[in-house]
Amino acid sequence: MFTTGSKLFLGSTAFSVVALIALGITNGGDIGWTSTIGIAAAMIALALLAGVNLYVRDCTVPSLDEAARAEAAAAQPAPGASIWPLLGSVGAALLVVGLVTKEIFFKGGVLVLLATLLEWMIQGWSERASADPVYNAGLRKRLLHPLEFPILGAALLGVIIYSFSRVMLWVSKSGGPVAFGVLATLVLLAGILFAYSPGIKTSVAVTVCVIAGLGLVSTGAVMAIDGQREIDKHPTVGADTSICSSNDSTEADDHGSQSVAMKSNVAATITLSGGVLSAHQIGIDQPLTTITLSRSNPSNVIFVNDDAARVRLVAHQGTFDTTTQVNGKFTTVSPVVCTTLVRKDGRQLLTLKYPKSSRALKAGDAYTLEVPGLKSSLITVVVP
Amino acid sequence: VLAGCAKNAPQDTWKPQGDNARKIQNLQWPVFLTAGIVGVLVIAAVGYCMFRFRDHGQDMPEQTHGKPALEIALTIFPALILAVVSTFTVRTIFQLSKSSDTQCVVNVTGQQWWWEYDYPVQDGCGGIKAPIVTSGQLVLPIKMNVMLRISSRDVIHSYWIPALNGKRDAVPGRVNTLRMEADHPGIFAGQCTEFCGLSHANMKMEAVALNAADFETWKANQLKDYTAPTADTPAAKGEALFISNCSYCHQVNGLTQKSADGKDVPVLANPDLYEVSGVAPNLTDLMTRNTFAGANFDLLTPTCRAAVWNAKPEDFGAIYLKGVTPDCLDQVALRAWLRNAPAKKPMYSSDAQKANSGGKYRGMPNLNLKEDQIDLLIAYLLERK
Repeated sequence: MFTTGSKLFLGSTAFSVVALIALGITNGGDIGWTSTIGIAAAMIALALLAGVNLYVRDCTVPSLDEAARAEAAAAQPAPGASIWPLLGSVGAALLVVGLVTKEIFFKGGVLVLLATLLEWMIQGWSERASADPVYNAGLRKRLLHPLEFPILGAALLGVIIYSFSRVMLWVSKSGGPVAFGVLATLVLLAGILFAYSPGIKTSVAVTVCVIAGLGLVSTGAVMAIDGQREIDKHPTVGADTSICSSNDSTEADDHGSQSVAMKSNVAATITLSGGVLSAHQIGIDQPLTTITLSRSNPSNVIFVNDDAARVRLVAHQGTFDTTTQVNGKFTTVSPVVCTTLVRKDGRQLLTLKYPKSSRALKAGDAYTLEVPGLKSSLITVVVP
Repeated sequence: VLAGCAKNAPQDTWKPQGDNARKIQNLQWPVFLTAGIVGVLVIAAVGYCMFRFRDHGQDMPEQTHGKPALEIALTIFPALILAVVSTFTVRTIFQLSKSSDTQCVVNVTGQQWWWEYDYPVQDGCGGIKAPIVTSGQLVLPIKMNVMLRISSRDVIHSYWIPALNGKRDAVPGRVNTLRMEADHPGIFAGQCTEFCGLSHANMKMEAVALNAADFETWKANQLKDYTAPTADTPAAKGEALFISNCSYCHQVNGLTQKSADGKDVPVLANPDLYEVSGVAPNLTDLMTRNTFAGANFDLLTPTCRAAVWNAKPEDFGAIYLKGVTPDCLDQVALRAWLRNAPAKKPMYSSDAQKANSGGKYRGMPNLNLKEDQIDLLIAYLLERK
């Protein structure tokens, strides 16, 4: 319909009209003749140019050549509304905002601008590839769909996964299995319903999926804003004698996790029950007070506290002479490692590594696992 | 395929020598048989159709779509086969992972490129009062449910003695269990089955099964006190050489040396300072084993080794417990190893590559020993049993 050139001049004409009216309003009727004549003249000239451009099809097609007017690409109706200027503006805005706020916005702006540039270039090229709009559209699809579908699909999947994760992090640990059990059942029922209703309209299925997707994304957004549930941080291991020597609560104990993900395949499970420490190792049924751990091998040990008081498990890893001199002297080191305080029914994981055999211990020394204040009950670690 | 027909194949998966391996055998042969029959039928049907209905210019046959009865049958029949197979498979998996009937526990730890076995203090295994550490050959009592607790110090390895059970991965930080039980005294070969680096193919192992009395003898021998070589003998000189060259990494339990004030102080290995894995094989009773360097080389001459391998079950214990005698020692292999270990087994243990390993060796380095030093070391090591 309108050619590109005529659009420019029509827009400018409209702008002149608006400017003329604005001038009249802002000057309260006392309009200077020069301004009025100038703007009106510009308006008329622009309108004339718009008409000429429209008539001669931006001079791309001879106006008297009927065949060319019918077939030339430039003679065809100009493309309709395009999303790329809008998206480009969003990209530019993100770019600027990112410069003064967060880097992620800047990077996002660059990505949006690059994507816009690519899309716009290929669309602009394809729309003038021939006189057949259908062929041109097909050309664009052939080039861009292999890019667009995987990227948009991944982005959509990312949004859904992210939304899903926000929901999972918001729901309480006990409520999570129930909520997702119900959700999974609903999805299964919907799937069964679709499968057994071959006559169901595509639009209905699409609507249901879109509503479900939007519901998930909006719920995820709300829960992301509300914030995730309180999750224990995991500074569960200390290697400081001042922390490990007592059951006094320190800053490190405030957020210690009381559960471990590793439930099995550990070297030993140490349990405090009734003020007595006992160890269990796979394959040995009876409780142990001596366990054997391989030398130089990181061994995971779970500490379980069945008693009421909050306590920590401390691993004394022997006393050795240093191999290098400090201030001209060989000194001794007595490394310890401990859990943070474990409350009743809590459990923590401790990774122990003994580079030296028990044979290397001095007389009277031993590798032990113990709870501060409970010297009468300890676990001896033997390292072959 | 032809290799599968070998008669002298010690790692043959079809010759179970213990209860656990037999459970696998009892599962796998009907499954293979069923799969084989199905495979032959499918291939025969495809072949028949290809030949019978080949194109020789005939008209296009009638085209049909959908035969519900046939489709349902072709779905149900394989599903039934799989259901039966899975029932027995799951049952076998549970049987092989049972731990409540354990009678003996052995810690098995893999590292590049050898296996260490340590027997923790326990009432099992007939009672073990002090830890026993050995390598290369796992020694276990027959007709006893032995549980291996398998782990790794560096990368993932996999423990496999085909005659006694299936494979189990050795994963750093995790303890995976594997049941072992041998029907009769004998020696059973295995191989690391998870690619673990340069010398993966050289990471072998052997399980040695002894009857209860012989196992007690073996335990007692492993825990006996250290016997120092007679003074002024080549073995005594070898001991000094061992202390100055080998004891940095290799432990010999009970070995002592004189301190500056004339006291006997224990010689303690510190492989954690020199080895990437933090350990080196304990050589206390080296000559009670038949192999060294990750069970990759024989300590016994081929004749003596064959005598152990081919011993009758009733004679096996006595022959094995003799260990390495002077006339049975394969000096060629041991000398070559002591002369230049990395040349015999690739181990990243050159000085040039040490920098890439945090200043530590990955395996035994070349100690640049002279021939007379090797003589003395061998004299000393020959008494380690």
